[in-house]
Amino acid sequence: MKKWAIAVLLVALLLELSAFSGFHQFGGSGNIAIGGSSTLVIAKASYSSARVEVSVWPEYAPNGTSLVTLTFLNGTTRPVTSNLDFVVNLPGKFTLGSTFGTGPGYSVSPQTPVNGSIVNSGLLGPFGARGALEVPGLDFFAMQVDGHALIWYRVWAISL
Amino acid sequence: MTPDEEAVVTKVRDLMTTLDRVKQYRAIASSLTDFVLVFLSTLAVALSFYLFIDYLQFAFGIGYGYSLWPSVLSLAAASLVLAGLFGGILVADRKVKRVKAKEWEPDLKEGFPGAVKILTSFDWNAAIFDVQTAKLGFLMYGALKVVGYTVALSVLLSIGFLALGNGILHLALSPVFSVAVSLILVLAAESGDLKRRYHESYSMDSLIWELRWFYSGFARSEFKA
Repeated sequence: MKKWAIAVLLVALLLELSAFSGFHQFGGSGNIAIGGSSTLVIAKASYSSARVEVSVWPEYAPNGTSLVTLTFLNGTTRPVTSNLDFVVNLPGKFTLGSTFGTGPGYSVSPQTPVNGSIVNSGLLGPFGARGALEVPGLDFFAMQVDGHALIWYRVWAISL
Repeated sequence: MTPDEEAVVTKVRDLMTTLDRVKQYRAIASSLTDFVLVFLSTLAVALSFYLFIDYLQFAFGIGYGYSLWPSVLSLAAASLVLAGLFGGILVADRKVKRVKAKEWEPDLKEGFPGAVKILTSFDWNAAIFDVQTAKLGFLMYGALKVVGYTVALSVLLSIGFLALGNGILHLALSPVFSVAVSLILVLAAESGDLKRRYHESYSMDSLIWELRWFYSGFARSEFKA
């Protein structure tokens, strides 16, 4: 009986140790120059769940106004008039097999199921490469920032 | 008693004293399973703590910035591993203390007849087997103790080095460094115990041969008589 308990515990320990490799965390920041456009791209394998924390701090013009606008993947656009912090949850779903994908600002593989960065171009604008963010087996969070702003992002993900 | 009879009594006393020690080592060997069970259970719970910290970070972003929670939970997990280690040692120690010793003393007080009585009722094959099992358990217990102390100490040192490395020295110290330092410290602290175990296991080897020699000599004399 005790021997079986030890065997079960050893298997549980191995599973726990394997589970550590399912957690991923990364982040970064960017300074978007006046008149510039940048896009924050976060890509994840469909089977991963991710939590993306974003902070956007607009730089104000001498008259106190901000000319920063955000454009999201679904086409929504909103102006940013004060410091903005928000969290986006990207849920995972059960899928079989491995997922690979590389595009502007991201490179996803079974070892790195969640990846992203800030790309120095407006991917979501009229002349952007929006199609690069439509890849089977991958889910995206993308946010184009137009104007003078500082942005921070941090991503926690789990792939079990 | 003649000098020869006295020598036999002395030898039987030595033999029985050593076999009492073997009984204790056998108790250690049999408590190894309990020790491993207790230690692995606490290790599993401690790892669950660490997974819980990772989950908190994933779900709520806790631990990002200067939150104390991950350090508190890590310390709790390290304490759990230490508690498991000491719990395992305590369980083994209790089993060893329960072993009855010197049950042969009243017989030996009778002198040579008592010694002969002990020798005739002695199960030599079982005694040789006991010595071999005890030796294995004795060495395994020592090795497990070193591994356990190293794991617990390296967890504590990792937390310490993390605070020291990030806060004071501004260095990223590798986890391998904590494990290496822990192993060196544990080996330094346990060197006396390890040496003792090595010598005792060596003396057990000679006891096995002595027992075989004693057995064949006794069987021959019994046959002649």
